[in-house]
Amino acid sequence: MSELFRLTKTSLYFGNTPVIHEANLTIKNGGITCIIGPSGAGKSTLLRSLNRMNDLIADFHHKGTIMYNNRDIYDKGLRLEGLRREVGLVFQKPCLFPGSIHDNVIFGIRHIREKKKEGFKVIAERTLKAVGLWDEVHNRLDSPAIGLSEGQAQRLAIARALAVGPKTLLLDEPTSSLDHRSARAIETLVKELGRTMTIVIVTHKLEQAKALADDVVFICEGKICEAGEAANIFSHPENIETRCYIEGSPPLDPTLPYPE
Amino acid sequence: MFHLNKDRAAGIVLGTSFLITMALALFILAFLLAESLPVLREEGLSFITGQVWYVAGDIYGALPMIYGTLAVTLLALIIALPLGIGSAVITSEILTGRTRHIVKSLMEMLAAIPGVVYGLIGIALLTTSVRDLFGLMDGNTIFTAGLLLGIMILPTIMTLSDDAMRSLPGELRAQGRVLGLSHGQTIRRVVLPGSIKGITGAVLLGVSRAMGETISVMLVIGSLDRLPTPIYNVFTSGQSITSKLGREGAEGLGLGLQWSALAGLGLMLFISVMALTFTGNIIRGGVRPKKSKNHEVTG
Ligand SMILES: Nc1ncnc2c1ncn2[C@@H]1O[C@H](COP(=O)(O)OP(=O)(O)OP(=O)(O)O)[C@@H](O)[C@H]1O
Ligand SMILES: [Mg+2]
Repeated sequence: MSELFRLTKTSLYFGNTPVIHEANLTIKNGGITCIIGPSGAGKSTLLRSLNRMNDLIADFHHKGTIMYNNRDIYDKGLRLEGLRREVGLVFQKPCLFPGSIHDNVIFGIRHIREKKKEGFKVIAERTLKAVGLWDEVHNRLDSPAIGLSEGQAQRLAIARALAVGPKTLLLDEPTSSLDHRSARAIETLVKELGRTMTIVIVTHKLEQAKALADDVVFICEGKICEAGEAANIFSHPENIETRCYIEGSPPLDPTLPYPE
Repeated sequence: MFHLNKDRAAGIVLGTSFLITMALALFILAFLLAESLPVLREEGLSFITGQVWYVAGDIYGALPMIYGTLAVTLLALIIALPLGIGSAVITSEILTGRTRHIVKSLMEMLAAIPGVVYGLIGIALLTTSVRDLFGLMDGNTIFTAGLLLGIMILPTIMTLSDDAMRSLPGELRAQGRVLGLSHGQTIRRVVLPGSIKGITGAVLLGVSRAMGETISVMLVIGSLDRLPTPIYNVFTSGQSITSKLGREGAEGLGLGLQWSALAGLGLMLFISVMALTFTGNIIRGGVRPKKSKNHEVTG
């Protein structure tokens, strides 16, 4: 499989503190890559660097290179909005816009002149079906999105990201604030999406990573401790920290949820 | 319980001050209404439609003043609305850190400058510039007053609109950007619609300030109780309700129909300004400046 992202000696800073330190990493095209690691390790920061969402933070800067499809994403000629439409990202907590469910799904495409081949309605229906939300909301598309449950809101957020038509989807702990059933629904959805597009997902939950991942990236304290095929890493972790984390003893971070 | 007592005490204080405020407003309203009854009885509708205000003949038509007030307020709005919202967008969405802080503090300072100071600057600079720029005989015009008011309420509209935009959670902006909207698109599609209530409230408060402003208008409007010809020619001297009250209020005190007519002007102004301020504050509702990072990205 070809590589999609390649990070070379990539350091990510907030102010003077490096949150990620000289990371070297490739992420394959297609399939599901899980980023795991203890709290505060820099997982979200690494994920957001893949479509330059850290750039919005005032004191952020980076060193090293981040290649996407063999192209430096900080290349002068690269259109930032184009990159973000190709590499979608769903935040940890779904942030819905005021307005209806329909308004939310099509938000990313409504304001862009390109691609109008399909009508908004068609796209909304397709993406809501893709996230398994259509049956629940098709008769109240025009009611406020605020009324949805957390799990529904998260699926709506994913539908909204999909509507833009990304080739890659970045997900930051999409199930962390959800109950067990909603979390399972999202996991099934991610697994499904992984068949047709590249997914990079940050997760706290080892079980989730084991269930979903083709590849695993393990980060701790801003360093990439281990990366590779999921099967290998889970059965023979080479790195002592990875092993501790996977075996759960002793936990690196007492606040971590213990694998069920 | 102690807590209960404290809450109750706070409730009583709040309730009392609310009642006092309401009572005061009602008292002023009743007072103005009672005082203006004679002129309303005497002039009837022509108090509002009449164009002649002639004290010696006991004729009181307030149309020139009503027109003047509406004209200067509208002019002020035309000037301050785009500039105020535009600069609020700049301070809230584009500037960061110290620069933003400095500009914002400056604007808040400007918003607190008393009208008379603006009036003096208006006399010193604005009247002559308007005269020279538009080739007029006299720079004391309705336009000058509107321009001055626009400058005066600009900081108010700007700081309140800035507060409204800043109170919008940063995640919404990040959400707009992550869906591929540019910075400008995010401002237009996310920030402005999201803070429209606060901005509307800000504008209404600004307008009510413009409408009620007296001294500075009095100093530059030319004080002529006449409708301009043609009616849209704002480059002539005029009169607003406030400038009229400012000039004649003291001399007309208690003097029969003239006093009643002045009270009638006051009544119109009071009702308009109260309605604007009230609506503005209601619409602004929950808008409070929030101390959060502008572009919080983590969800
Ligand atoms: N906007 C920011 N400004 C400054 N420091 C930040 C910012 N965002 C994150 N950090 C710091 O960077 C480090 C890594 O944060 P990050 O959110 O990437 O960790 P994480 O692995 O996603 O943690 P979690 O599992 O708790 O979500 C933390 O120490 C955090 O305090
Ligand atoms: Mg995180």
